[in-house]
Amino acid sequence: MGNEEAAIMNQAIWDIGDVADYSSKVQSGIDNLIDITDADIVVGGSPKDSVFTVDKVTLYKYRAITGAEDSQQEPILITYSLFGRYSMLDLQTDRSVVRNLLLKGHTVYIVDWGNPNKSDRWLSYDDYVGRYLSDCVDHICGAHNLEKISIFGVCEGGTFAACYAALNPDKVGSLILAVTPVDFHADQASPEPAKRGYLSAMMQKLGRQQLSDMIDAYGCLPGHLSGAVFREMTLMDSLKKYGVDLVDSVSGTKESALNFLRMEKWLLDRPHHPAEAAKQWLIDFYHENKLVQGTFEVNGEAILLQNLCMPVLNIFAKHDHIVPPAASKALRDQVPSDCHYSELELRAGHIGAFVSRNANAAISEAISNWIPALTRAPASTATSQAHSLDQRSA
Amino acid sequence: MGDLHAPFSGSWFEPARPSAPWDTTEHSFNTLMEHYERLVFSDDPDHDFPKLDTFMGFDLKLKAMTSAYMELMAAINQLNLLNVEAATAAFAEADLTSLELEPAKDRAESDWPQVIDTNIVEMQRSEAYLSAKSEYVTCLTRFQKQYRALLESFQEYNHMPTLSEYEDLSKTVHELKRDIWAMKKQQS
Repeated sequence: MGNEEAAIMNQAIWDIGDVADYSSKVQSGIDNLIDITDADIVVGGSPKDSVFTVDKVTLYKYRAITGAEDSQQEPILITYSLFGRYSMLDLQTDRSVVRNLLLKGHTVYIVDWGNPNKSDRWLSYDDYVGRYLSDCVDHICGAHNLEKISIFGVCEGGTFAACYAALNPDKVGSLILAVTPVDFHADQASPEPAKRGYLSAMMQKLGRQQLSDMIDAYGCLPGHLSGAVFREMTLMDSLKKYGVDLVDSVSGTKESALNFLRMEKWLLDRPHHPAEAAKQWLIDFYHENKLVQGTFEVNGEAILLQNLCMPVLNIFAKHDHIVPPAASKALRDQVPSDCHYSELELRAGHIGAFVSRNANAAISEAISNWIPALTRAPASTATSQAHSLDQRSA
Repeated sequence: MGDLHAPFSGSWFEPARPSAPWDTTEHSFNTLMEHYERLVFSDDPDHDFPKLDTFMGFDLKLKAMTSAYMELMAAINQLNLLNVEAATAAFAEADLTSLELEPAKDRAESDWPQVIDTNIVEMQRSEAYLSAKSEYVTCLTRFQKQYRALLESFQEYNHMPTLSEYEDLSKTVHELKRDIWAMKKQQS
């Protein structure tokens, strides 16, 4: 056999082995999908109790975990975005920011915004910040006989939290924001296209009336539409995920297939965004950048980030394609000069910040350290607790 | 043999004869259809036809929705075209003949998707793509509005509440809820 023939034969053998491997994976994937039921794909499974409801909004308190550390820190209220479900923070036992905080002994509350439909089209930030979030904070303060609590806001939930804290600084012991845009145009100056946020570029291109008409035509910002935009932003990843990578994702052990399916279940469960609040998000924030200009109002009161005088921890993700780091980091220049402000940059993406094992552990640790003690610790203590973070000099 | 599909168009070679009643009926029908088509299939999208009666109102809404749908499809195709162009640009520039089998396979599994992804990300920030996206949003909105208008006609004629009526009602309820909340806060 000549060298050329041997090379062809080797290639053929390699190909046959490859096909056999692939076939085995397909078989394993099919076995997993037959074995797994929808009820097996549990997202957000940490035990919790409903402690307060208003309209479609529910405030949950997570049950303490037996054997958890003893903590004497303020309760923490988590607010998530209206574009997804809060269960992202409790995706599964080994990737749960909520569970990590519970293990450290924290008292954890979370707001579930429910399933807004077209009857909720008039809900705006006046309602989400001025009524719902305000009522949740009052309820927790009342239940624990406290004057203030810590708030941890994620993405749009971070914007809710920042607005609330700016209006009610006396009720917020510390503010933690994660992947939260503040200056919605900050990323557009980057010379690298990939670092310029697609959402920001698109919303600036679209006119105010154009955006308003689109939302009015639907009576909301439909979940499937926002989901499609998110998939469009990572087009190749989306195509690979449901194409060549799918067999890898569902094959292997049942637990590894469940990891994939839990994430997919969460991604596909996108609630509709109420119309008026969606207009504020897309037009007032993304198109007109009102938050950093101090011209955004809730119930007629201007949101001034200069009012954020409580300790602020700002967490952002280096590879975030939805909220580029520059849009979050802009908060540094907005808070008052005497504010205890820290940043934590995670080597992750927008969602990976909460579900990848390393980022998940880092974010939980940072939050746990940032929450002040119940008996108000001096600001300097909070600073020393967060020694591992990039502390801005006051 | 005359054109069987156009029996009335070849009368020039036939001897003149008095008009038959069916000729007149056919002629009248054709004329009527001609006027109808001129009205319904008018190419002027901005012309706001008078909504004369129930039929015309529904009919024109159906026509507007169809037209909006065609425009939406065109806008989607434009976006797809730009995506495909960006995705294939790297392949168009590559000299595939110089690539050996094994390295080419490795590249296909690692580098190429990355190259395509980078191209698409850059393209999505381009003026051409953003303009196409803007056109898509305009077309999507127009289609949704026309679709909704058509359905609301149907709902009205069939004694069903429309989304617009529902929105009026929900706004009132929303304002009442806010008033009650404010009053409770004042009292507490």
